[in-house]
Parts: sequence; C-alpha cells; structure tokens
Amino acid sequence: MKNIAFLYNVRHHYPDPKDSKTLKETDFDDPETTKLQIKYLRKLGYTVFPIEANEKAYLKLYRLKNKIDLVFNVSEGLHGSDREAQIPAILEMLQIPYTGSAPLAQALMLDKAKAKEILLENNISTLPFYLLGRNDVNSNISFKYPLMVKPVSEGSSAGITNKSVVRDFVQLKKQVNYIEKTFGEKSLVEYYLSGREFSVGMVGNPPRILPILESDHSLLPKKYLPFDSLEVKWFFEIESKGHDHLKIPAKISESLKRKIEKICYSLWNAIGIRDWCRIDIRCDENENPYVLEVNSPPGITPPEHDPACYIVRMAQASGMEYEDLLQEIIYTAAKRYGIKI
Amino acid sequence: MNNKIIVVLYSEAKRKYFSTEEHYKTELEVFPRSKVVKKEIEKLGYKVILLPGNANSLIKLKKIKPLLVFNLVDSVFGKEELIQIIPATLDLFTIPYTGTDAIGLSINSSKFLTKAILNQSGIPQPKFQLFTNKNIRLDNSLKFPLIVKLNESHGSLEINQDSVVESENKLRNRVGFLIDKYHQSVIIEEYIRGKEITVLMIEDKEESIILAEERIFFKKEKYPLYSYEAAWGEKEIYDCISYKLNEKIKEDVRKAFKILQFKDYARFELIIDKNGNHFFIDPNANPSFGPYGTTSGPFGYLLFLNKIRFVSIVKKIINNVSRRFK
Repeated sequence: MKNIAFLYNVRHHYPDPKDSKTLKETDFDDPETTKLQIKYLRKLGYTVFPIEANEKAYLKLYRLKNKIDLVFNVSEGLHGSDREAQIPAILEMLQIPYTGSAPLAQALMLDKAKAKEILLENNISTLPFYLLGRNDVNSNISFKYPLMVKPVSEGSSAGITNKSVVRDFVQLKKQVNYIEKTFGEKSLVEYYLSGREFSVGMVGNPPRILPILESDHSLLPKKYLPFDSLEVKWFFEIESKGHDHLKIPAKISESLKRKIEKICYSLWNAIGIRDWCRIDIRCDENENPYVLEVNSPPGITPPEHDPACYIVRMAQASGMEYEDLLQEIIYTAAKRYGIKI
Repeated sequence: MNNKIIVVLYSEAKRKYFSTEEHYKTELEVFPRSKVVKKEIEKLGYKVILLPGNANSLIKLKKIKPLLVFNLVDSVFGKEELIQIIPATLDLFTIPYTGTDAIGLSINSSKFLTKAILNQSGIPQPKFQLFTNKNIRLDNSLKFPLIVKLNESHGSLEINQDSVVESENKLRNRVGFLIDKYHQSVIIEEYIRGKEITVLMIEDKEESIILAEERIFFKKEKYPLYSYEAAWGEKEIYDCISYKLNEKIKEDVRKAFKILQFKDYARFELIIDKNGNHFFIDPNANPSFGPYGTTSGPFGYLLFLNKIRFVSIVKKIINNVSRRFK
C-alpha cells in the first residue's frame, strides 16, 4: 500500500461566538493543520493526494480511483444534517477503501438526538432529552433547571458557550432561538450534569481504549463555566495554549473506569463504528457516567499546532507519537479491507 | 440549474450484485417502472432523463444540473443498506431530490434502528430483538410464535410460512439459515394475528394524504402474512380493499413519518389485532413509486382505489422538493 488520498475540510474563518457565519466552519481544520497532517503522512512513506472535501471531490476521486489504495478521511462534509455521511457515501459509490465509519454510522453520530435514541434503546447510559425548535418551547418542559442546550447536529463545541446552561424558561427560549437562527437546527435539551467530564479515544477493530482523558474544569479560569465550551476549546486551549486542566490518564476509581469502558464498547457496537472515534462522557454528582456525544472522525491536530488535541494526547499517553497514531488508523482500515500493508 | 430537466435515477440491478435470484428479482423491476414514471413526469412538460444509480451517472448529473432528481434507487451494488449514498452525494452536489434524505434512509435501511427509534417515541410495535448470530441469548419476555426477518432487506424477501417459528430450536435454525445465506443480521418479533393494513402517506404542505388498504388472502394459512410469493409471485393470492383508518392511527402515522425523517412519501405496514390495537410492522421510506399497472404495489393501487391521478402526486412531490431545497 503506497498511495493515500487525504480528505479534509478547510476552515476559512476562526470561530467567533459573536459571528454566526464563522461558527458553521468550527468543525473544519485550519490550513496549517492540514499542511502538517499531509507532511506527517508523507514522512510515513506514503504518496499523498490531498483532496478538499467539497463538490469537486467526487470528480477528483473518480479520476484517481485506480491509483488510490486508501483514503484517510478527516473531512466533515459540507451541506445539510447528513454532511458527515457524504464523503463515506461517495467513497462507497466509487468503491474506494477509506478510514473510519460507514455512512450509516456517520449520519447517526452527527444527529445527536438519533444517536441518543439508539443508545437509550440499547440501554447505554445517556440522558433523556427534548428536541426543541423555536416553536416547540413551552412551559410543559418537565425537566428541572439548570438545563444544557446545544445544537443537534454540530461538533467541536460549536454553539456551546457559557450561555448554553440555562436556568429558567426565558433563557431556554432565548438559547433555542439563537441556535435555530445561527445553525438552522433544533436544540437538544437535557439536564445539566455537574460532575466530572471525560473523553475516551478508541482505535482498532475490535477497538482498544486509549488512556482516558479528564477535562478538569475546576482548573479553568473563573470566567469559564465548568464544561468544554467553544470558549474553552478554541480560546483557552488553543489560543492561550492552556491545557493544564487536561489530566491524562484521568485519576479515576477502577469501578468508574470499568463503567466508562463498558459504555464505550457497547456504544461502538450499537452504532457500528469502525477504526477509530472519541466519545465524550460526563458524570452526575454521584459519578454515574453518561454519554454526551461521539466524535467521528475526531479532531487529529499535530501536537506542535494544538497541544490540547484530545486523541493525540491520549495516544501520547500510551507511548505513541503522532505519526504512530496515523499509521495505526491506516493499518486498522487496511486490515479491514484486506489490503496488503 | 436547468429548470426544465428532471433526472430519474433508478437501481442498477446486475445479477452479480445479488447473492440470490429472489433478491435480484426484487430489484429488476425498478427500471421498467422508472420508464413509466418518466412518461408521467413528461406530461408536466419537463424533459426527463433516465439514469442508473451508479458512479458514472453521478458525474453526468453534475454536468446536467437538473431541476431535481426523482430518486427511485432501492439498492446500490445490490445492497439496500447503501442507498443513503444517493441522497448524501446529491446533498454534496447541492442537487435537489425527491424522497427521504441520507439520515432517514440510513435509519430505514435497518429494521432494528427503525424500530428502536419508534420505540423511543411510544409508537406501538410488536416486541423485537436483533440477532447478529444464531447463538445470542433469546430475550425471555418475547412470546412465541415469533417471526424472523432479514434486518436490512425489504420486499418481503424470505418471508413465508417458515418465517414464523414456534420454538427456540426452530428460531435458531431459521436465524442461522438467513445469516448464512444473506450475510446480514436478522430481526425477530412477536407474530401478531390480525388485519393486515398498508398505509400510504404522501406529504403535503397543507394536509398530507393518508390512504389505507386491507389485504385479504384467498388461501387460509396457519399464519397469514405478506410473503415473497404474495409480493412477487405470478399468481394473485390476495385482494385489497379500501380501509378506513381511525384518527389515532393517522396521528401515529404522521408521527412516525416525522420521527423517522421521511420525506415526500412513505408506506407503513400495520397489523390491527382483534381488540382493535394497532401495531407498526414495517415503515418504508421511498417505497416503490409508480402508477397503477406497474410494479409499484400498494402505491399505485391505493391512488387508483381513491381515484387520485398519479400525475397529480408527481406535481405535488415536485412542489415539495422545490420548497425543501429553496
């Protein structure tokens, strides 16, 4: 196996919570990240064909299809609530092997409400929720405040700010309106969990769990509320290089670790994930863990550009360098397709 | 965009894509039906191009830039679980299309996912369980007789009297047989005796059309069911009569349509037991689309029974798509 097509999306604007246009690209990588990722893949000895995941990607892949051995897919797609399924879908149509999950799982994971329904049906711990548009918010909401309000189909903390925790009906209505206006999406509304927050990286088929990461929010500056908001992820962690609050491996009891691992393995099977993913988990005050969301593909930024990138930190904690992680994902996918390495 | 051109995409059925002749037959009918649909759309003054749902057609579509695509693709490379490829790619190309989007089709490509999502919303269904191999522990709360179905195939494939099992031993044999033959998971559910009702919903901005028929089998069998033979056999073995749905069922149909993210039109199979309780058996996004006289099954027949012209439905769907993608 020699030739790899690298599929990515480029962010043209830095996410600014005050500018709704910039928030739609929050999931995308900046040009420097993409450049470095390609450099690392070349360093591993592959011939890399970089392809931006836009409308032209289909034609480019169609022309290159007989040259490409495998696609390394870190793209998020472009339009609509099924966008993360688009690139896997065209790769299926062109019958080109690729890293990561199939369109079905990708579509499910981006729609947090549908993913939660599947988890609830499989008795995998996640909170009950409401799915609300601006016309659905009424006083019949039976959950007790404070509540967490987030867009139903966004990743990378897009739409999650200090204002996402609402303490009364007026704030709830305002935040649901804001999300619909900004993202054109409904809001997922659930209890606000006040406990610890963990992130779990998984690689392989069947998967192995990398060292669990805890985002210790008690160590954040006081102006941030204790959760992974857009402000924390994009301004504190990246801009100010603040990552002292990330504890890896997390200091947790054996019983909590077992509970989290069991949840993650069950989720992997229920959704039908392949090759790699990262799962966000948050606990209540009694340390009962609940799945918040699944990231597939998760962000995989080289450490020199973002020292806080979760899955890279996890890989490092297990003794892997950045390029080792890339190689493991490639080998995992190649093995699944029966491609000679 | 070319406002006068509509493309009809149909399933590319090649024998080599299918593991069995029966499965192949369920897809072979799409092309002749699509030709009839083409003629109906042309009545509205559009130029219509027929293309198979494959990699080359998607390249052509980018060049044609049609007003919209009528998506009649039921399988890709013979796999029904891959049909979300079509709307996902059309979304990437920003080409409007009829029918359910990639998320809705993804969910509907698995009976288990469909049932799981309906369960979370309290839509009544028979109890069910997914089997990924024949040795999984049977949920004790399930009561025999149980019916065994392929999780990812539609079109009544492998549905016959052997599908209903009365013991755990027979259940495991049947599950093993289907998994070995089709290499996909299997869903089992409690068999419910009652009236077999097919419901067609056509989405409309004002008020959606909901039509229903009851299937009456000529031959009395131990377990009446809509078998492969009934769906695809040459002999007529059942008749359909109009059925009046009560408001509660209509409400559940509308709710299920919305929850499953169906668009434009969908078909639901229901059973109504002797106590009048209704159970959703099989919701189908993008069911066989076509007028009466083609292989569109209940779609065309229900329109015919209710004296609704097929071309008026085509017009309605074109309007739906224009609104959705504006």
